[in-house]
Amino acid sequence: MEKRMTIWRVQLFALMRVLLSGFRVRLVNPNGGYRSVGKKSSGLLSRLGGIGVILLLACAAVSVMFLLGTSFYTLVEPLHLLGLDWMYMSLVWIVCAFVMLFGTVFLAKAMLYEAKDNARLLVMPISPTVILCARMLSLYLLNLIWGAFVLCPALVCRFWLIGFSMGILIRSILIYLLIGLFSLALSGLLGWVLARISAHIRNKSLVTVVLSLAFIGAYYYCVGTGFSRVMELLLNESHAVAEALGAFAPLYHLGMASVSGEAVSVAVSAATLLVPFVLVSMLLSATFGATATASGSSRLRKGAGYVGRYRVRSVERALLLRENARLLSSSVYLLNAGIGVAFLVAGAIYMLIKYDTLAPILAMLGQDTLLALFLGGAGMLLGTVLFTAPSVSLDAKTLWVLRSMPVPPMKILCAKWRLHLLWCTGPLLMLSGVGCMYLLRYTPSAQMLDGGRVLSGAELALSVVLIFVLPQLCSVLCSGVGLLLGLRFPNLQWTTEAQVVKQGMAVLTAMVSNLALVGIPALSVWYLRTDISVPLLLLAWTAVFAVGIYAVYRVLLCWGVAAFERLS
Amino acid sequence: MLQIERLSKYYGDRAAVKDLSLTISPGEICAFIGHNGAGKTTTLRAACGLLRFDAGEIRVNGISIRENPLACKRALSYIPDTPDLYAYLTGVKYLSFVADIYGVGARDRAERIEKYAALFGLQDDLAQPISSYSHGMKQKLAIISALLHAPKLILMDEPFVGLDPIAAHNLKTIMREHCDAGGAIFFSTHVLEVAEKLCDKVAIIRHGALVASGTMETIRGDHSLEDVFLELSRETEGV
Repeated sequence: MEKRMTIWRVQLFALMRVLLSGFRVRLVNPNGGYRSVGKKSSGLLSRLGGIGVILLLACAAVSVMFLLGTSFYTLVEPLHLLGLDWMYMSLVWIVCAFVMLFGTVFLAKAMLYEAKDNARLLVMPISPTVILCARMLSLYLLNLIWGAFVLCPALVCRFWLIGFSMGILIRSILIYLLIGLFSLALSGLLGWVLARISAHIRNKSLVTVVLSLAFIGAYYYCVGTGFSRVMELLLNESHAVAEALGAFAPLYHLGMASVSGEAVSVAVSAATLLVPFVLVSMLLSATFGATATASGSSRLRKGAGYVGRYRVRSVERALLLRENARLLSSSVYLLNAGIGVAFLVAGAIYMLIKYDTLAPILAMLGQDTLLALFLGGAGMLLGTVLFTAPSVSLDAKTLWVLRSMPVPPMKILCAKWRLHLLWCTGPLLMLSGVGCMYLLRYTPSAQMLDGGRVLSGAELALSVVLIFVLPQLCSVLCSGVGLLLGLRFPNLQWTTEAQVVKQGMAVLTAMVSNLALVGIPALSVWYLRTDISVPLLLLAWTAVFAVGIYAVYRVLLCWGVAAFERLS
Repeated sequence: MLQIERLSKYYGDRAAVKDLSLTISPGEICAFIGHNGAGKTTTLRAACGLLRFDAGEIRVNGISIRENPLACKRALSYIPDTPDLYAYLTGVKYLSFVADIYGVGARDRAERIEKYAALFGLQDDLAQPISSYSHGMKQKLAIISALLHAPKLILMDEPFVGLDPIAAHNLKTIMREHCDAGGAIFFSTHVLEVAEKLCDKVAIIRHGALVASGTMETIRGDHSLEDVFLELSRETEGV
């Protein structure tokens, strides 16, 4: 027994060393350890670029923490005065678990069961449990990273406004580690369910996407809406909320375990968080070998006809259809890079259904602010669509197919760009149509806030044009920049698609660049809207975006094509 | 058909291919043999425009691959050593995609796909996703896709690996027919018996440099190709 444990420990450490060296390489080298054959390192410049990117990402992380921190800041003192410190921590843990789950739930299946080296490892004398442990550990690390975005600002606010407590710090860190395990259990369970189902069906990708969205939707409905209701009631009916939360024992004990460290609360919290993890781990461990090998290949159905499927297409169309087929075949790619498309459609439908509720509230802002707010919101949703950034890296070992064919590299790159437009143009038009309805049916409110105003006839006409044109230009620009970043940070050595789609440097920098491309115009409009007409300001940004698209096209044509040709 | 003149390719300070010159005329099948890491794949990848080289020139049908890669690629086909194809497409969709890129008409593509799929016993599997194919099936699909646009020059890297005996025999027949019709083939292999029986020419590479090339009869003389290859290896190693 002892000998077996030693072997397991050695194997787990060996796998973890490989895993951590992969993390290290990706952190130090933005290209994921990939270096184009024959490409000479640019030394200091390359290193400075890497540091710059890391600094940029750090800024983005601090911004997210700041945004969450402002919410915690408003809650911590009132709840402390009411003697409800435990409730503050309960809320922190709810948000923490939600963020952790959202960060990894779409990756679980790919990381646990679809890693390229699963088959290679399974033929080695390594226990499947050890392989699973290594895979789960990487998901767990991701959970902790996501959770830190919540816990850090929450504790900073707590210690800043109420006072530092070493006990709370230590207990919070311990519960944070346990929350990571709880979230891992939920992600792992969904990954297991998806892997088991997809082993028996043909349309794996679509079913995975539908089930994942249903899962996250149900989770959001249960936790997210409940949390919103709690937040609404907090200021007026704190004690009633406390009673309601307190009635749900695990949440109460979770808060109490952090604040007071009572033995009963600690025991209940630990059991609540650990038991699901242990049960799911046992289930996954018992079935890992079978699930990992079953999900890798579908059963071959012989004899299905293909005669008559020889449709002749243009090169451009053939390339676009190939990109689309690749997107539809990968649930990881579709869910992580394309969830923004679902947001765009959901946003349009929500605004349409809730018109009677939202219109009077928005009327208080003024017609010009409504226009700016709508375009800013559309841009933010659009910023979550990241089809182009991982596209080049995803081609990886199949790059030779296109590169050995008589097709200009620019056409290949343009097909990747057009894929984004194929998926975004329709939903954006839909959203713009709804926005246009809000704008045209605008009735000024008697309680209009300062700074808000009604647009003149000419301004309204211009706004209607802008509401359709500006989001489309933003879409083209963001995707173009994403494509350039994909070429700047290619990773052709990935073992799971998640490394490219979710954790790739190209995707991370594209998220930051999208935020900047939407955020900078939004901030300029917000601060200048009282001095300059909002439609005119947006018209200026439209021109800037048009120039930006031309610049991206030129860079793609010169540098992008050369960078693509260097890949091998 | 294929002219390689003083080709050199370096990875950092290491020369993968050094000053290599070779000519393959229409109607010729040329085997490219050498030990692992000798520079065969590098040469083949450079010849089909996949890899930039540091010095020398490669011409396909008299056209420089460096100056006009698209024109060269229209005239050639490449089959790599590992058939990494688009796993998310079905076999027939992959072939249609390749035909679209090369601009093969509907009638020609239907005729060729039917012909080669039947020859390699792949008709029943073409409607299935490539992800469900075995290594050999992928190799067969890669070969069919390489033949779809009736290229003049075919470059192949270890084409017989993973093929069953019938498919290997069929491929050899296709290669011979292709060259008899005026095409040319340049392929790497470790199977010297195949090279000996099938090829008109042979080129032997060692440490990136060509150590022998010419017609099979000239190189082989009265010995087997294996003896010649081993002898050349010993000589270049100074044994």
